[in-house]
Amino acid sequence: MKITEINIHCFGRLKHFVLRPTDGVNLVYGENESGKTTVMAFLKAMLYGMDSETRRRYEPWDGGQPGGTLELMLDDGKTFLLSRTFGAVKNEDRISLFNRTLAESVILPAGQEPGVLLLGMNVKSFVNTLYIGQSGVSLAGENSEITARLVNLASAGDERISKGEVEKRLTTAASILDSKKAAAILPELRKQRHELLESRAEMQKSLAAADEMRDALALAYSRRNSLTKERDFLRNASGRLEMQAELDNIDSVIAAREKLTSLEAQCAELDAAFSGERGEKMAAFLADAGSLMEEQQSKRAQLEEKQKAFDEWKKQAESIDRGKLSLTRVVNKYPKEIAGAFERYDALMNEKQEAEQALASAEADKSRMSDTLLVLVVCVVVILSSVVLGAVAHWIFYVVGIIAVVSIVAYLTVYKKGFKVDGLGDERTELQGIEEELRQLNLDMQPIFELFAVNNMEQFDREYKEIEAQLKQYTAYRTQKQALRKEVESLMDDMDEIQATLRERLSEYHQVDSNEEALTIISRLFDMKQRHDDLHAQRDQAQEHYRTLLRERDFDKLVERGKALRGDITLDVPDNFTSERINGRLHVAEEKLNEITQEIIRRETELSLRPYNEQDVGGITEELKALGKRMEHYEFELAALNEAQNALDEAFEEMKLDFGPLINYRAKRILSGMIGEEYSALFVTNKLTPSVTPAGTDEPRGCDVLSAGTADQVYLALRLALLGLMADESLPVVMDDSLVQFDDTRMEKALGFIRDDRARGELGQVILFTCHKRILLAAKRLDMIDGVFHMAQSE
Amino acid sequence: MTTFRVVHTSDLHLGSLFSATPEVAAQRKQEQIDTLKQILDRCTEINADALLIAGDLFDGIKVERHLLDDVREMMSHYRFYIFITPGRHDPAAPDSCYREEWPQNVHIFRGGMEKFEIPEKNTCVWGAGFTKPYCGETLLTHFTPVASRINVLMMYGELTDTPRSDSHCNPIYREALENCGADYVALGHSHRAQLFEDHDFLYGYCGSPSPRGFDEPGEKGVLSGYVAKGFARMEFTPLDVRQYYTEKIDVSGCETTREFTGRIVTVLRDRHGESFSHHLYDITIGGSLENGIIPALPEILARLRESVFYVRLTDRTSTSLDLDLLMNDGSLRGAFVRKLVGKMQTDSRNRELYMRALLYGLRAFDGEIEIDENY
Repeated sequence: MKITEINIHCFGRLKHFVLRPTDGVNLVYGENESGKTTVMAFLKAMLYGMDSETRRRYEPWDGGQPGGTLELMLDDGKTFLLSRTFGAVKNEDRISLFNRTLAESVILPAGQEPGVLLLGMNVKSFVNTLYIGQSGVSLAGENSEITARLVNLASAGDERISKGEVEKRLTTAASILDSKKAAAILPELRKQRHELLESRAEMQKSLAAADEMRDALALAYSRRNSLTKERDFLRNASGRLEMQAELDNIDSVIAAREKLTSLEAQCAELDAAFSGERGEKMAAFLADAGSLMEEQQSKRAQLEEKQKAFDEWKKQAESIDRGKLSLTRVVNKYPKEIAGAFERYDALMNEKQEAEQALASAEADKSRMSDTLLVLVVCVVVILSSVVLGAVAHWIFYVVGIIAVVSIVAYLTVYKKGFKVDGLGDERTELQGIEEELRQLNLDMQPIFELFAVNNMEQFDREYKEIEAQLKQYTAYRTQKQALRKEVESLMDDMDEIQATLRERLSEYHQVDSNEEALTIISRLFDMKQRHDDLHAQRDQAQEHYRTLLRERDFDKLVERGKALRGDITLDVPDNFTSERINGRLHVAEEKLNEITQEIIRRETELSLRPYNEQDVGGITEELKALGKRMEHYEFELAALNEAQNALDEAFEEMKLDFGPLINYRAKRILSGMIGEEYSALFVTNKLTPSVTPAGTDEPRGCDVLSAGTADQVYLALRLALLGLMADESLPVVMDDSLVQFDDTRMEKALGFIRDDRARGELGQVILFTCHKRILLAAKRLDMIDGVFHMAQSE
Repeated sequence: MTTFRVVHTSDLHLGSLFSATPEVAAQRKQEQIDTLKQILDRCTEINADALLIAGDLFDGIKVERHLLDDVREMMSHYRFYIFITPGRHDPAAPDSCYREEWPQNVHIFRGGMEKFEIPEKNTCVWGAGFTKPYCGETLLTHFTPVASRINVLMMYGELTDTPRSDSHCNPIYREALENCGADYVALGHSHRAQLFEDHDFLYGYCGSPSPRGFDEPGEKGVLSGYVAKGFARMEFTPLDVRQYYTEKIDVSGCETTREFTGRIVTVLRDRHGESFSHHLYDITIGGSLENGIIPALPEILARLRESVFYVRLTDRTSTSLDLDLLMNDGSLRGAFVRKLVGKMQTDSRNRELYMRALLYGLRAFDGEIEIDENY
């Protein structure tokens, strides 16, 4: 903030006085009684009012209304105009504060002076900092009061460092723990924790995937086990079938061999009878006897055929009715009677037939005549009706009558020839006569009929024909029987002759008593020969079969192999398990097994290559725990540092209202700037005495033992130190010959310090009032003045 | 009367990484194997018929080859039976080492309930193992004890007091277990030894034989004894293993590193005897120190580790302060102290934090603040 215009309408000795200070250092030069102090008093009165004594002191000399304006500009450029008219007492002051930038009035809280609002400090602070009067730098007179005020503000203690320094140390320590710097502990730990959490999440994900892999692998193992079992079973089954097939083959070889051996033994047994001289004789005999035996056999066969034929005839003969056959004797006894009767009967029967035919024809004619009469009657009725109706009703009915007449004529014309209207009496009479004759014939033949157990000729005729048939059959049987007997006898004779020949031939070798014995022996010999030949044929066949089965293998080894196989075959294979079916299933099982094995290898490899293990998660969790503990520790430390920082800020804010404890530090710095490092420390003691510690000593010295100039410098340093603590806003400093107690050197140093401090931005606007030309000249020499104002004594 | 002498252990977690104590991790890993050796020797000492390892012999499915070889080789030297039921951390998964060949005297229960008969001891050992890291259904099924024989059951699982449970760690309903008909049930899972007795029926957790962290306090060992038909007698046998202790030690009045170290060692010796140096400690030092005294933790730690196997140190000391005097200081320091003392009074729960802030602030008034970056 800076004061841009001081306009005194009327105040003490000054009237219509205007001063427009520059931004920098302003030097207002004037002789004594020129009104410099009045201007300063005006400034204070405008900002904070006046007590009654001051009010009386600065009553306008011309009796006018005291008052004026003050124009102020804040650092942000806002301009305020403070107007004040002083009354007799404070309550009668009229104050207005106008924001020129916003063109609006600022309402001051009740009872609050504008200085508190504009400068952020009470009047005490203003007087002891910004407002440095002539008495502010001396120990005499009022100086003790000022000293006391400063002591109250600056406080006592051993502060040698600023709040900023403490804050910086706390911040530095906190920044070691937590800041954007790469080396800070907590960010690094958070980063580590984040990385560990990410790693753990990745591990857990990997482990979950591994668990899934294990599940899949377990299934694959299970599948492989079942497939392996199936494959092994099928392999065993396949082997079992192969073994069985081999065993069956071996068994068939063994069976063939046994059969061959048996046949060879049988052959050997018979070979004795058919070998050697005896055998040759036997062969010669059998060759010779062979044709005879064949003939014998042929005869026997013929005999058997004859016997069969005879049996057939005999069978037929047994069916002949012997009773009827016996009636032939009766027939033979009455041949004429029977023949005559049949002749008469046949004639009568023919006549009867003719008579019956004639009667039937007559009866047919009679029936047709009846029909014709009926037609004629109907036609007559129609004609008569037509005539009547034609006469009565309509002529058309005549036409109908004509048609009926024509029809009758036509009918009679057509059927006239067939009419025979004679009666039936002749035919019937004739027929009756024939039947009478037949009855007579039956009566005549009655004695014979009784012999044949019949009643009439008709029955007799049938019986007679039957008897004739039986007789014919019987006669044929007897004829055949006789012929067969002759043939059989001839065959028997032939056979007897052959047997005799064979017996004769056999008797050359063996004594026989009968033909039958010879024949039996010879038959047996032939059977034996046949058996001999059959056995050899069977043996040859068996041998060939055996060789085929053996396939040049060693029989004994085969037998051994068979025994071994029989011991090995333990598996039961279902009957429907064929070799083909087993091999098919085995192929499928092996393919699947191969696939599942590949899958297992792949999954096992994946599992073995998985980067993390369960204990890695445990390890990371442990690391996280440890890290968590470290973080907890450092976060606690950081929280403590932050709390310290907060407490420091709060304490400082509190202190700032009373211009806090940094004064000593700043004052020492300012003092050193003004007089060099003559003093190692500057502070205000609890005894309300500002003191300094000369360099090289440990003993502080109070202002009361210092020279007046040094004491003023101490106070000036303290005041300037206070300025920096008053507000963030730079505030104008008003000095009323504050350097007057300084010797030239110190005065120039003080001016130089003020110049440098301004250059550093530590000081804002400075308005320096002086009545000493040496100060004016020194300031000019130091080229530190931005504006010089001269106040004339006459004003 | 036939008895079956057993040693019951579980939760060895061989192969554990010991990440919480990285400085001694390698040594601790080796010591876990030594613990197994100690247990096997214990079996020999009591002439045990069998060693029952009820789960988590290893810390993971994937076991380092040399560790696996060492364990199998070690086990093969003993003549008694060794029964193993895989647990949650080392399930008999398809890629588990339990699927490999083990010494003849070792029997592994690789899945559902299985019986192993020892006719010469008239005993049946029953077991069921994990095949996955989780097991939501109880494995206590198909257990049909042989009436004429001693029946020992072993498995890894979590006892529950209700038939239904959300546990994924083989929930074992306590009532079902107590009525199952076994003569002794050896359980694994809990790292704390707990032996339960229901009339003459004995069952329990043997606990971890060797702790792995500060969250496993208490004495460690195995259960050993004998099982007879109808009853069992088992007792806890401590093992000579390193323990993990969490300690709070008052170091009030100490000023130098030597004094701090001396005080800590003295307290540890008093509490844990002459073997105190054998164990692992998580120590928090507290108490009030003279103004300006700050424990030099790195130095103290270095000196402690000369005499103690493993130490972790946390500083919670406070400086003894004349708060009244400080508060009466009219300077910024006094205002600062007053602010924090006020907070301590209004927010007593965070007193420790405000006290720490006060110390930090006072240090900042005095000079630069040093932060122990190696905690």
